[in-house]
Amino acid sequence: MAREVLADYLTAVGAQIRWRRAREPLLRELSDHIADQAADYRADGLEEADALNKAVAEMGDPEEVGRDLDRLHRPKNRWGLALAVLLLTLAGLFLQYRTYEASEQGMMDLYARQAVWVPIALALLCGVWFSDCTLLLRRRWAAGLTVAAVAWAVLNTNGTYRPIALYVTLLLPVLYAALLCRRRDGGPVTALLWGLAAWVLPLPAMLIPSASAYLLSGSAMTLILLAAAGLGWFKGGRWKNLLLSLLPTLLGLGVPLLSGLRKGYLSRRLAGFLHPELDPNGVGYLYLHLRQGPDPDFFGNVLGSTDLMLAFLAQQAGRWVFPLTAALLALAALLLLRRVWKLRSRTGKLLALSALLPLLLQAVLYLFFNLGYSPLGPLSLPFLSFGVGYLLLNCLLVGFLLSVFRMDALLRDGLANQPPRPLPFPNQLDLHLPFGKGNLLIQYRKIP
Amino acid sequence: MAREKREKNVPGGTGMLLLSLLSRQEMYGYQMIAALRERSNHVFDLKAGTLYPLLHTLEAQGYVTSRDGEVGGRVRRYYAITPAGRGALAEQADQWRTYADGVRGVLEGGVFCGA
Repeated sequence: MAREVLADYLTAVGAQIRWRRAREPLLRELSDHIADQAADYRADGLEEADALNKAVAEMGDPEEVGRDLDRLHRPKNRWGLALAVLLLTLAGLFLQYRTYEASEQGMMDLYARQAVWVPIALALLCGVWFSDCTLLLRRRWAAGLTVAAVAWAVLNTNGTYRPIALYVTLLLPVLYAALLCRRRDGGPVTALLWGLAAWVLPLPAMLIPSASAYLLSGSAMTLILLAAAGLGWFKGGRWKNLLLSLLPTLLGLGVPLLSGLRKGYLSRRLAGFLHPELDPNGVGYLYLHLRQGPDPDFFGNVLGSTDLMLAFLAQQAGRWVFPLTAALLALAALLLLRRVWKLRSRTGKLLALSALLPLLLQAVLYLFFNLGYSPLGPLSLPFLSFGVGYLLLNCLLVGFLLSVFRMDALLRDGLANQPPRPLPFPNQLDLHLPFGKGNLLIQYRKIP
Repeated sequence: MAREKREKNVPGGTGMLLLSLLSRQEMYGYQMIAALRERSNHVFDLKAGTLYPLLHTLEAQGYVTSRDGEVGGRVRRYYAITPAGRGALAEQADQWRTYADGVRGVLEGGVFCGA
C-alpha cells in the first residue's frame, strides 16, 4: 500500500511535467528525497510502510509541485539563432550566385549542387537540434567517437575521403569538450595533460595536410580548456590551473609540430605573408593584391575562388564590406557568448563553446585572409561561402549548439551525465522510473 | 494569497535562507531541509515540494549551481552557491537587517524624530 502511495505521488507529479526528458531526473530527485526522509523515520522507530507513507505526505501537493517543476523545466528553443542561420544560408546562396555567375570556370554546376544540399544540411541541423545532446556524455560515447574520428582521419588523409577527414578534425572540439565534461576529478596535472591533448588530438589535420584546420581545432580546444579552468572545473588554485592549461600553448607546442611537419611550405608562406613585395609574382602575389584593394585584373584572375568571396564582393561593392562583416561577426559573437555565459551548468557552457568556437574562428580566419592579413588559408565563411562539406559541418555545429541551449535545464555537472543507475531504497527496494510514450510507469523489484 | 503578499513585502525569504545554508557548504535537498529545521530551532520546516522548485528557480537565476555526486552508491544532486548567489545573499541580508531593525524599533519603541 505504501508503495502505491509513493507511485501515485510520483505519477501525479510526473503527469504535470510536459517535457518528457525532464521527468526522469526530476522524479528521481524527489524519490531520492523520499527515500532519505523514510530512512530517517525508520531510524526513529516507524514501520517501513508508515515511514514511507509519512515521507510521501511530507512532500506537499503533487500537482502543485509538478506544475512548479514543469514551469521551470521547459525546452528553450532559440528560434532567433535558427532563423539567423536560415537567412545566412539563403544570403550565402545569393552571394555565391552573384560571385559565380560571371565566372568562366564552370562554377555554376557546382553552385547548383550546393543549392540542392542546402535543404539537406538544414534538415541535419534540425535533426541534431531536437536530439538529446547529453547522449555524448553518457557511457563512453565521446571517448569511442574521438578514437574513431582520429583513427578515421589518420587513415583517410589521402584519397577520396581526404576532405571528410578535414571536417572530422573540426568536429574534435565537441568531442574534446564532452570528454572534459565527463572528467572533473583532476587537479593541475590533469589540466596540463588536457592542454597537451588539445594540440595532439588534431594532428591528423597536419597529415591531410591543413595547418589551418590544425590550428583552428587546437585553438578551439585550448580555449574550451581555459574556460573550464576559469570556471573552476579542476581541483586546486584557479590561476595555477589556468596557467598549466595554457602551458603547452605557451611553450609553442603547436608551432614546433607545424614546423616539423611542414617546414618548407610554411616558411615560404610565412615569408610571402610578411614580405609580399619580395616575391610579387610568387607566394606574395595574393597578399600584395588583397591588401591593395580594388584591382580588376587581379580579381578577374581569381574570379570564382571559394576562398575569396568577401574580397570579390568588396571589389564589386566597395571596401565597406569588410568593416560590415567584422561588425556583424563581433555582434554575433557577443550575443552568442552572452547566451552561453547564461547557461546554468558548466557542462552546458563548455559544450556550447565547443560548437561555437570552431564557427567563430572559421569566420575570423576567412575575414583576415580576404583582407590579406592571414598567413593561413581559410576554411569557410560559415553558411555564406561555397562548399557542401563545410555547410554540413557548420549545420552540425549549430544544431549541437541549439541542442545544448534547448537542454539547458537538464544539463548538470558530474554523475548525472551517466545513465540512471538503480536507486537503492532504504527498504531494500529498487525503484525504476521507466517512461512510455507520454505515460509514466513505475515498477519495483526486490534487490536480491 | 495573504501569505504570498506578506512574503513579498518582507525582504529575503526562503531563498535567502537557502543561499545562506549553501554559502557554508554544498548540500543536497534533504540535507538542506534538515539543516534549516535544526538551525531555526524548528521554526522553518520546509516541505520538499516547496524546496525543489525554489532551488531550481535559484539555479535558473544563476545563484546556485548543481552537480551530481555519488555517496555510498547513491547518486545525489548537490547544490552550491555561485559568486552571483553570494552577491544576492549579501544584498538580501542587508535588506533584511534594515527591515528587522525597523520592526524592532517600532516594537520596542524607537527614537521618534521630526517632531
